[in-house]
Amino acid sequence: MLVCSERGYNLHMNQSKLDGGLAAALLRREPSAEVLLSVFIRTAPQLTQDARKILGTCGVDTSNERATVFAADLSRQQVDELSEQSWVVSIQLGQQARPLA
Amino acid sequence: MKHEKVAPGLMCAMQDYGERGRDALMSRGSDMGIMSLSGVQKEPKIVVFFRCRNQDKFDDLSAQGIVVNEIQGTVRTAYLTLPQIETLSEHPAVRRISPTRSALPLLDVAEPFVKLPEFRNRTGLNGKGVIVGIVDSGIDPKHPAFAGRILQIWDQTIPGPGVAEGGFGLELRGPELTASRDKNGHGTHVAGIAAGNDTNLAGIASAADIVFVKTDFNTGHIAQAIKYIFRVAGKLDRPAVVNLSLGSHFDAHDGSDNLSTVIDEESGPGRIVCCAAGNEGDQNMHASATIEAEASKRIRFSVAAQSPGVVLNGWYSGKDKFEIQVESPGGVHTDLQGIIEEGEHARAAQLDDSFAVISTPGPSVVNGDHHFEVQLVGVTGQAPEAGNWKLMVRGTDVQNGRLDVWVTDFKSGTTCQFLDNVSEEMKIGSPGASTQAITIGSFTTRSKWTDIDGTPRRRSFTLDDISPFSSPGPLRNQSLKPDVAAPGAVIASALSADSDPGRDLILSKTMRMDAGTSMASPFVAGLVALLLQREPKLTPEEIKKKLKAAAKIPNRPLNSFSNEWGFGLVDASLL
Repeated sequence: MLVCSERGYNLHMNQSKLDGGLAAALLRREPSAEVLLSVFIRTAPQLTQDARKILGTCGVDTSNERATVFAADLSRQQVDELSEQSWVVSIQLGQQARPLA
Repeated sequence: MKHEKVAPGLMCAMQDYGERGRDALMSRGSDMGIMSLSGVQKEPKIVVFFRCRNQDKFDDLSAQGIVVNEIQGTVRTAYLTLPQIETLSEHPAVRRISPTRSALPLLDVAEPFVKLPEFRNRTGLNGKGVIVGIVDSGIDPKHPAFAGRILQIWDQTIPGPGVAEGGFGLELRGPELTASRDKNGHGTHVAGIAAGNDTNLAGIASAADIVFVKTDFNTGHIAQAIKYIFRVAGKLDRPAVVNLSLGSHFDAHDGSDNLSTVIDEESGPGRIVCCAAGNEGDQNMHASATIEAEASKRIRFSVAAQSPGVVLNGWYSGKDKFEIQVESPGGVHTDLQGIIEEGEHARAAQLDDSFAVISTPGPSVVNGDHHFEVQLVGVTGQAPEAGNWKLMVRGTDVQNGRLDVWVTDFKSGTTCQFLDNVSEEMKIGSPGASTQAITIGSFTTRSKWTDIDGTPRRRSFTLDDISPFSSPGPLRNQSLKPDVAAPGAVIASALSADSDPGRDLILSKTMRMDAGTSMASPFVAGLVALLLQREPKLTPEEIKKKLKAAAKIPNRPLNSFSNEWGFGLVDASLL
């Protein structure tokens, strides 16, 4: 089982699963940067226990078994590794909302 | 007139009105709940309390145009013209008539509009046992309106170990609560509407407990906040309603975005989310066009000087293929850019003193539609060039042809707005687009007040109508939103001691005014808390059904829908 780690930056990251904002954010940062990115991970439904464990090691809360969208703060290495998982559909950068008054 | 039944303050106001007319009431407007002072066509009205016996009937007054909001109780309310006060005083069952005061700012104006006093008197509900969760700018934990009822705060902005839903921020309880502050003031005001309760403030669910998340407004962190509140409520085995008086326009405007999906997946029996519709109703921030094959459409948009940066968010059918181009005010343009299915799908170009970055990825994996984004910034990283820009869209393969584009800058409509193909619909973005969320538009119950310095203040809103800023639906996929409307302008509620909204908005040391769908959403969230107190396992569908059945658009048949009102203003007496 692949476990999220802090290994080196993977040049083979699956870019097709990243949205434009996240791809740009990764490009702007040095590979060694420890900045975490707030992202949404969209997955296939009905994740396996292995998939849940991988998400768990990335600090993702998977308590809702029917959830297909997970929010998490990830390092670029974690984004890299998750993007290679077959059950990860997309990873998108969180956006900034604003108060409505 | 039975003078002995009329409270002195009210008597003075009536006499003054008799001598000086409307001018006499101007200075009393805010502290006595006097309404309809603007315009010549409306007679001033005032919300009054009156005392009687618990079972007294007042049906006979309806022939004289007087509607008493409650059918029982020793203290009732009515919304009256000044001559009607005289009529009411002569009713044998009426013992004493008093004006409502700014001491009950929500009750004096907004609550009678939706017949909340009648609902409360009939049901005795106050939200006890229910969790009101709020994700916002913070809460003033020392404000008396929340004394002893804030169970915990997850402050996402304070460095700390975080919570199960996210390893950041600090969880606070008991005496630790005061470590979290609300310098913005928005969250404290919102919380006061939903659940405030002290001698100066009567929130809707005045006995509910509060779980607050002070957020940095990142949508991922907002999603984690929702999960956190529902987890905390679940551990306590209590129902919860989460209020989100926030929004954005980065999404597809069809409820398929990430935050809306999280809301849909987290909602369920006793787990309800209320969302503000948005405040872009009077802004030219949405353009809609039909694109034809082998033809170009030009959509102009203006960029104000010193704009912080502009983002255009465009969506069209996955069956169509368009090419995108932008042109600066100086006439320099990018290349036409089609869909880029593989690899990096963003291209940058310098146009005079600005950079334009256009992103044209393949179809969305979520809804199958095509999406493009245009970002404009200055070459020095500052503001893009001010003036009239052009978005050019060319159809290369067209089956549907519909194009929708939104401005997503931080103050949409104030720094960038469309000049062509302006659309007055589909201005509800995420998270108000969520299918399961109850999405609320704003109704105007007040446009004038007197600030803490005694200066009369006003907003140019039409009373008794949908607020002009309230974002209209439907969604891009034609789903009906907003769901209902509630009082959102201009609302008095709690003032955070750490905030500085400007003295024109401050009423007292603990109260301030504010307007927005941000204020309408907690109004309904409070109502939902009352319904959950009565039936803790109500589902979002069941609650929406109840709210819609109790809502009505003025002068329209029951069950009517409009893009601005949704199914109308909620009448709590029908819940």
